Amino acid sequence: MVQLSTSDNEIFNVDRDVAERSVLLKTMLDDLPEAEENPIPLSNVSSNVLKKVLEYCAHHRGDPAPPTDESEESRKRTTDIGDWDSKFINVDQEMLFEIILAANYLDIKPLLDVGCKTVANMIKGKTPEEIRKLFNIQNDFTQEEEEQIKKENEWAEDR
Amino acid sequence: MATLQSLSAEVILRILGQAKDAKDIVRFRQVNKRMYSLGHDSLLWKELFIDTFLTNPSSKEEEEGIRPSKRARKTSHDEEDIQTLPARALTSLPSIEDDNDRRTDWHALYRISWNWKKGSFNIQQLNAAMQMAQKSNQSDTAKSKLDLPNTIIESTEKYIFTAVREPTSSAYPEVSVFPAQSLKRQRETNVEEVLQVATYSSSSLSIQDNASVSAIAIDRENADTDRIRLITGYTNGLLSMSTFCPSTKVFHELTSYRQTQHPAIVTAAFAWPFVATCTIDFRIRIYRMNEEDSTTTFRLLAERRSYSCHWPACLRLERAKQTENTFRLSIVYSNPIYPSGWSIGLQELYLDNIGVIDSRSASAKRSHVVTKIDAPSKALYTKNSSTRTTSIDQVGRLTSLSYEEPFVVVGSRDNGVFCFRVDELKDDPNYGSKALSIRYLRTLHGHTGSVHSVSLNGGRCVTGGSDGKVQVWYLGDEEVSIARATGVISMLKGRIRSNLGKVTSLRLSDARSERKRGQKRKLSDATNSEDSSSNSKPLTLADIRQHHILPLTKSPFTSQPMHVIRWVTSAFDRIISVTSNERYRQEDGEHSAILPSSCRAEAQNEKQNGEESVQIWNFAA
Repeated sequence: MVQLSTSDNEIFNVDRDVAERSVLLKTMLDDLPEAEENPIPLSNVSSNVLKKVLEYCAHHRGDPAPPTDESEESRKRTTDIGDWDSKFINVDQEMLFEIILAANYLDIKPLLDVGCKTVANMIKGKTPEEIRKLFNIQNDFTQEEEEQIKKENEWAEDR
Repeated sequence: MATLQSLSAEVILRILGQAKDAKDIVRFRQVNKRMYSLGHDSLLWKELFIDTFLTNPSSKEEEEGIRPSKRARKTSHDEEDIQTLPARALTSLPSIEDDNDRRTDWHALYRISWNWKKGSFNIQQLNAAMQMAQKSNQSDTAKSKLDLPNTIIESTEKYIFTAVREPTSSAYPEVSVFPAQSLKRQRETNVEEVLQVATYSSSSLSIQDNASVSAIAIDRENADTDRIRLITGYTNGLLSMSTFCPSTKVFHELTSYRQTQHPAIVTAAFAWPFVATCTIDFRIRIYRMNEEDSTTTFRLLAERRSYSCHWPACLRLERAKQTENTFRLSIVYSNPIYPSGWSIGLQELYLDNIGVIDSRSASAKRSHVVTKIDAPSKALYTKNSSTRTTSIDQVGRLTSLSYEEPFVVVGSRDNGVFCFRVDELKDDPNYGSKALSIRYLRTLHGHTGSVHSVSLNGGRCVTGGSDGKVQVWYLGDEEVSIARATGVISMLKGRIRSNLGKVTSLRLSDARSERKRGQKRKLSDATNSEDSSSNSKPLTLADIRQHHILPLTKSPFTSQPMHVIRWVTSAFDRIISVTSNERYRQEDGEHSAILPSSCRAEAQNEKQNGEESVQIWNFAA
């Protein structure tokens, strides 16, 4: 059993193999044997996000270790997400980005990929204006700059 | 609160890496300044480039179950594995393994490759005034015998050198220089006219010579530094070497050499310090340039004469791969086989400072009756027409030939483009360890008129013909794609004329046709109503022409004479074409324009027959 302490000071008790889905926690537990006795502080992660992340880790506890060869993995791009994963990631935008941040911080590659793929699918086929609206991003280009950039990137649009 | 904005650059790049489509990434870049700079990431575009252009498309489709696997097909036909040919050989492609290479602009590379794939380009036309040639009275010139276009073109990355074969109104034959790079970065609807920046005529020519330029050659290896070296051959046998300085736009003639009792040079090749020239009767002369105390002289190194070579032929001079100071001259020629066949041959000469040190040759097998051994394209034939057993012995006259390792392509009058491959035989005791072999690969079908010109450069094969189409072929794929750069030229000249140099109605929208396979997929997509939102009606080849030129305003010629692509080449991400406005070229070489009677008089008044113009199709825009 491993104890994890969140930013809002909640303590989670999880099995070691679940915790080890996170490369960060795995390294910690391997290097510092005493970490098992004290709660590990995760000051970047709030309790509701960690609950979600641990749900993912528990479901995937038996999965083989992700390939360490980064290049091999990234070459194989696929935007398909498994059934369970897509249900799991079907959350509001804020939670989605919280999960991505946590997965990045805890170094859980498969979860990070699920999150990134989800965002990539959200972007797919949308115009810049639609993307701005979707993610509430301020347009900081001047009108001339926007024209210029639009022209510059015309090549990729099918006409 | 967590938003997209709060993610680190690394995570955003990871998201973009998951978006497989360049279009999505490009649109994402336009969201705001931070995303704009993130979306330019070199590694991101490198991965996308490799995915899109270097991954064998057929293997992708195998995964998706669209096509049977390679193995499944192999057992059904004894077809040679054409897929092992280099897929889209890009000679200037930077090393993919070198991750630290930050100098490569993968974004630009992707964009340009994408433009080629889609056939979207910017078009320019060289100022036509200098191209006007007088009708020749001499009927036995090399030009008329070989049916060559009147315009000679050589190009470097930044400049295009042109000359006119037949006497112009000027007493001194000139070589003109045009800038090759478009001033406009974006694709425009108007055709940009390019003006020449310099001209050159040899000081060794006098007005009595009555000569004209018959060949030009540029030293490509050292081009676009501080000076571009140029060899000019004239009809009276004069050879001159000059340099063009791009910064001052001035020519300097370094030396000239008069070949006596020597027919005109038809083609020349130049790789400093070697020059090779070839006359119409296949006298090949090799010179080495001597450079001493700032004077340069021609030194005749070797002379060869062939009685078995025939036109079309192609001369190529380049540094030999194995050794530092050796150069290789390759002559690829056609060879008639009576009564009605032809074949091609290749001769390689290895040159060093003393002379020809080595030579080897090969020729293609005459018979191309389909047998199991000699039929890489059997599957294609049996698929399309079961009765067709041989194609190559039954062809019309050959018009042009181009060679770039390892391919030879040959264009013929009966619409075909034939593709051969040159290989070095390894350890064959019968032929020695380094013997060459040429074998027929396949015929590229797609032109609907006589193919006038073929060009192989940087792995891209470009062909043009009397159907007014320029087609781009990738020789690396199993099913060679017919590219999408077609149709525009047919109307170009007419438009320019009618609008006094300002073309407003010509719209160069992208051709949206894809290779047949792609069309099939698009059809199925449309039925799934997934992709059908964006006007993606599948186009057949016949649609392209209409699709290209929108809208056409009324022109003075209600029936435009077809513009014929006389000559075409591709280099540095552009195609250069020479077009003329003749309608049909008949077997005896006579030009006859088929025009409505109302136009015929006008056409004759304007001496339109065979009048040529030069276009630059820029794919890097």
